[in-house]
Amino acid sequence: MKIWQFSEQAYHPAFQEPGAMRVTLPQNQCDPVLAGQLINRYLDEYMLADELGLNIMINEHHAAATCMSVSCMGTLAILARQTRKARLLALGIPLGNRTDPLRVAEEIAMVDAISGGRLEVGLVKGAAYELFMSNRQPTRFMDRFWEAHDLIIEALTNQGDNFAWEGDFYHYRTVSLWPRAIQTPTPPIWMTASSASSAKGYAQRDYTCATFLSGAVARSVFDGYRASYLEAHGRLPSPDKLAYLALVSCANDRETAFRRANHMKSYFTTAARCDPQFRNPAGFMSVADNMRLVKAGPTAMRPKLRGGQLLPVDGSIEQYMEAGLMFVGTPDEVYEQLAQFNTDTGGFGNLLMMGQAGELNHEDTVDNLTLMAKEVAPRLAELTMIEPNVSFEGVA
Amino acid sequence: MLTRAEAEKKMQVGAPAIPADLTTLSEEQLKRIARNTEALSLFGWSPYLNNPKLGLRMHRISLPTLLLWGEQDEILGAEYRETYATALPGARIEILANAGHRLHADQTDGIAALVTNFATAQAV
Repeated sequence: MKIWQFSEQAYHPAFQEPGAMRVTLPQNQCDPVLAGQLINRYLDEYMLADELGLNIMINEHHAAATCMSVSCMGTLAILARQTRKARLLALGIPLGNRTDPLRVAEEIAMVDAISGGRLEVGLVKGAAYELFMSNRQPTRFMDRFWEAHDLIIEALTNQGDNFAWEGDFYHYRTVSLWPRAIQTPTPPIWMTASSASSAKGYAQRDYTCATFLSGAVARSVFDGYRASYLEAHGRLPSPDKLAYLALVSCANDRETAFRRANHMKSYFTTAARCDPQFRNPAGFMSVADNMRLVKAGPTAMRPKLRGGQLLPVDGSIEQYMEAGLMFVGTPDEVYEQLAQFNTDTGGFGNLLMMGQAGELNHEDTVDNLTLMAKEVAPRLAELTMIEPNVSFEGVA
Repeated sequence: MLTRAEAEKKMQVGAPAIPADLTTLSEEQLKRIARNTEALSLFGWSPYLNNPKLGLRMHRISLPTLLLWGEQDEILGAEYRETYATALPGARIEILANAGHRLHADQTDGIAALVTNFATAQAV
């Protein structure tokens, strides 16, 4: 298992403000000098991750105090230049909210070229509540996503003449990437899934499938992927094709690890602060999905504890650990927890590790990353591949 | 931006057409709401529930026009009505008492009678 360091790069001083942390929080709450200092600090931590032999994951959000990276590729353009060894993962570029997919392809190619071919590209839908910033049409969101995807792949793989694109959503007179991406046919493509059914399509395309903070559901996502991969390619996927995102707090003693975890927990409590009218814009979900959502109820997607009860947003660190969203303890304990989770989910090759989250400060983050890189990563790299359960009971 | 429940409450004088608790609805009702929601986004997502070119085009309307407006419309108030009246000087404007923005839901029979009478008068 490989580790990818990830931070949402929060403007955590705003966490004390009452109300929503997304969409409606006014920008007058942001001190730009402090924001710049924080972003530089997070970039320093990413550079440390590179020095320590960890890989790097970047995301983006908009109009949110919880995440100051407003462009995966903008942040990765910096890190492509300033890091040396780490694989650089954008997870992801919100295609449904982007206006110009050709520009996305250009940025992918440029960052891959600058980094010497170290880029990995996550193409994701984008957050529903960020349609209020992009103002893109919500209806047929996924049709637009897949057309943008097809155009980007065609642009990246094209070895022949320039081409024109006349689609339902996008029209380009000529597509010509300068520079081209180094990696062929494309940098590795990632997508995110929260159910077995969405994972299936990614398996058929041979894309890496990541699931975020999904706890026990990760098993069914991974099983769905494995079953579909076997069907499509005649063999099981390498564990490298599967990824799980969770918060990790590691320290030399358990007490410090829990103290750090408590500083990180504000990631969960602030991420949830978004007014309900922005969560499901008109037309964003298909008619069938909207009907399913009503029937399933508002808590259907919330992670659960082992007994089936919902994990409270302001749950204890122990509850977050039980649900598989946090791994906390000494290096030995964190390794044991991750190894157990790896077994429980049938095995995955990529830990997308939030080694910094919420209000965790620089010194604690440095120690956390250092311990994970030096004492846990070598053992995770040697984790034995799990023999998959061929019944794939999670698929249904 | 209003919550869905707040917006529904403001739409008409009578009880909201869509209850706050959607789980009480049948599959057919849910499907209809979801399809209406899609239509809303197609018609009104961007520009958001307005047509910036409308003001420039209204003067081209030369046919007899009947403009119906709910007296208690909390979505589009009297100033919008005045703008329409100025743009359509020949229009007949009827303000319906006990009607909100969804005046067709609040005063179904009243609207039917007004439209029928108007259409009949034009046909003569």
